[in-house]
Amino acid sequence: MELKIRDSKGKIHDVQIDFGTSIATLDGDEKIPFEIIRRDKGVVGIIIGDKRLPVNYSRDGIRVELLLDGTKFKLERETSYAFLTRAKDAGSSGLTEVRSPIPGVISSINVAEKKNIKEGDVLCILQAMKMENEIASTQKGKIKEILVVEGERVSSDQVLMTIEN
Amino acid sequence: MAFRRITPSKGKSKRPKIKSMLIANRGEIALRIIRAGWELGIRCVIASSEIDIDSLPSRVADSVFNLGPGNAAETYLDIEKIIQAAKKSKVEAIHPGYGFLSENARFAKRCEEEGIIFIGPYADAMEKLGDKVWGRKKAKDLKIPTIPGSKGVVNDVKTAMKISRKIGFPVLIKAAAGGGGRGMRVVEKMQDLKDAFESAQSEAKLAFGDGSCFIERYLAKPRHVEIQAMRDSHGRFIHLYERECSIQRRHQKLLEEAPSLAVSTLMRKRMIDASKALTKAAKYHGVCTVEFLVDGKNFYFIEVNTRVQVEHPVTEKITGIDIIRAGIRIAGKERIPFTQRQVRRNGHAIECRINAEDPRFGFAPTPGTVEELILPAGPGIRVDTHLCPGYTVPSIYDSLIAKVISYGRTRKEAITRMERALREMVVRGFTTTAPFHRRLLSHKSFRNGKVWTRFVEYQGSKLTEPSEEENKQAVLAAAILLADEENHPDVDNNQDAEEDWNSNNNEEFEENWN
Repeated sequence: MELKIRDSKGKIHDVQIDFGTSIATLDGDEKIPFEIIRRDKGVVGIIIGDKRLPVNYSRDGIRVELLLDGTKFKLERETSYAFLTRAKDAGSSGLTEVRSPIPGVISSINVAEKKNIKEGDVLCILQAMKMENEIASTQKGKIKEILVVEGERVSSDQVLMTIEN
Repeated sequence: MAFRRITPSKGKSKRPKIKSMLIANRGEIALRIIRAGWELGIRCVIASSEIDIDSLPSRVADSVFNLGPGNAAETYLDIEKIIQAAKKSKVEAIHPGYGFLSENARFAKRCEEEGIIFIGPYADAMEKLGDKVWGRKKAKDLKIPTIPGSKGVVNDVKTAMKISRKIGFPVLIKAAAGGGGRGMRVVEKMQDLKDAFESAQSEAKLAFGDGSCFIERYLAKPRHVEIQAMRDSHGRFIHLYERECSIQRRHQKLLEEAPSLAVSTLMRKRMIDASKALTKAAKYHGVCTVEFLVDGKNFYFIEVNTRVQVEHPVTEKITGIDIIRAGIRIAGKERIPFTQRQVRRNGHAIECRINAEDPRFGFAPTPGTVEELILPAGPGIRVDTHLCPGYTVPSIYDSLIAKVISYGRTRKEAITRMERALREMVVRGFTTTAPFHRRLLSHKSFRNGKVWTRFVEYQGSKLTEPSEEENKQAVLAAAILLADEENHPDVDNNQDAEEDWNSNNNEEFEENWN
């Protein structure tokens, strides 16, 4: 399984996780064995390489907060959606695609075609990983097309709607 | 020539005169005092606030006196409440520990008035020796070096120049009315003095409404060295060598060691002589610590602390002497039960103060609940703590949760053992300064002993921010746990909302999120 993680300095790392062999590959280069230590309350520790680290983990959407061996870390899961909005800043086309960051179900659509929206407006709610994830706009614009309906199951990276700048 | 041989008394040590004691403190030091008390066969009562009633020292003591709810001012700092607690518990003595009322002369006086033995000096000795001004003046009388400086405020440039010439450059001009670096100027040479003095004055006037400035010698890289000493009421003075406490931040010590690498045999002797003279002049009895700043070959007296100190364990490790027990005996008017000859120094000890703080957020306190606890042990490791599993660190007291002390035959061994101990140690549930200490111990300058009082601040984020390695571990951990959740949709790795360990920092969570 592959994930992109943005660390607290803003740098994005590629992590490949193989649960079969219990090996994680960091940035295509270092192969590190791992193990999750669980107790009845849940995850209490993680072995990374040869280091056993006590861990407290909490996640809110794509944001992860870790208390790892006494230090607090804030990281973010880098998804295509997040990727896209950052690419937009670099001045690409006048049309932005809103993509689903993870697989899930559209539990509600909060806008309509031709509606003017501003930065931060919630476009739709995606139910996934036992949480309601708000997909919000990172820009001002007008909704061009809504390509999904309420109740529809979507996959990771699927285009949900398009926004005109 | 006649000589009297002093031999240690054979058999068991005599039982001290004090048989019962109220401990007016909390946390790790309260537990430390109970341990010393029990070794002396003393009944120990803890005066505990409502908040601390389930803490380890309160549970361990022979009995507890509940000081009621409220903050420190209404409990541990309430003189009359403590006196009442002692009377109701029918104890002969009160041990104030450190902080709180330990250097409060009025409290010591009240104990004297009530016929309760205060474990420490008499009120007037405490007042004298604890007063910086008295101490400095006495030191000068006794020809003990103090930091050269103006006697009072310097009003004009001409006087400033005269004094600076006398003191010697570099000098520090500092505002009399405040601190925080404002109205402060370091001047390397005479040519720069006029401008620096005038701008310091105007800055001070702007910041504090008062442009008056002092001038003193500037120490570029001073080291904090202190002598542990004790004096009994029979005139016997014993020193227990020195400690170095240069690793500090905003005048809070973070790591201490014994002995100091910055002290030569001659300097040590002079510091000891100074300590002996000062305690004699104040008619002091009890344990105390005399603080100095060391600048190359020079040392300067700063002040005396008339109580037990947090970092006493490192001295106990290198001398084998129990300082707390000695202090209790001295208070009971006994002779110190050993001679200077019997106090030998061996090896090297280091203490790391582990606080419930986040170094990444200016060492802000991060109180929380201990979800998992593994305390280090084994050869050369001592841990003084009041932590136990399930314990909730209160937010209203200081954030010291444990002292990890390592001992080795050499400094190198002490460092290696401390690194091993910090690796072994697990305190899960809130951020601690343990990762900070790990980085500090691996820092080249620390290992070479090239530190000074502003070392930590100078290093800045190098010590307070996670290293490259630690960052990588966090990235991997986040990825693994995220992937784990996705892999097993029925698994929720999220910590229980009730044990919301970041609930105190939610504001920061929002603000600092990029």
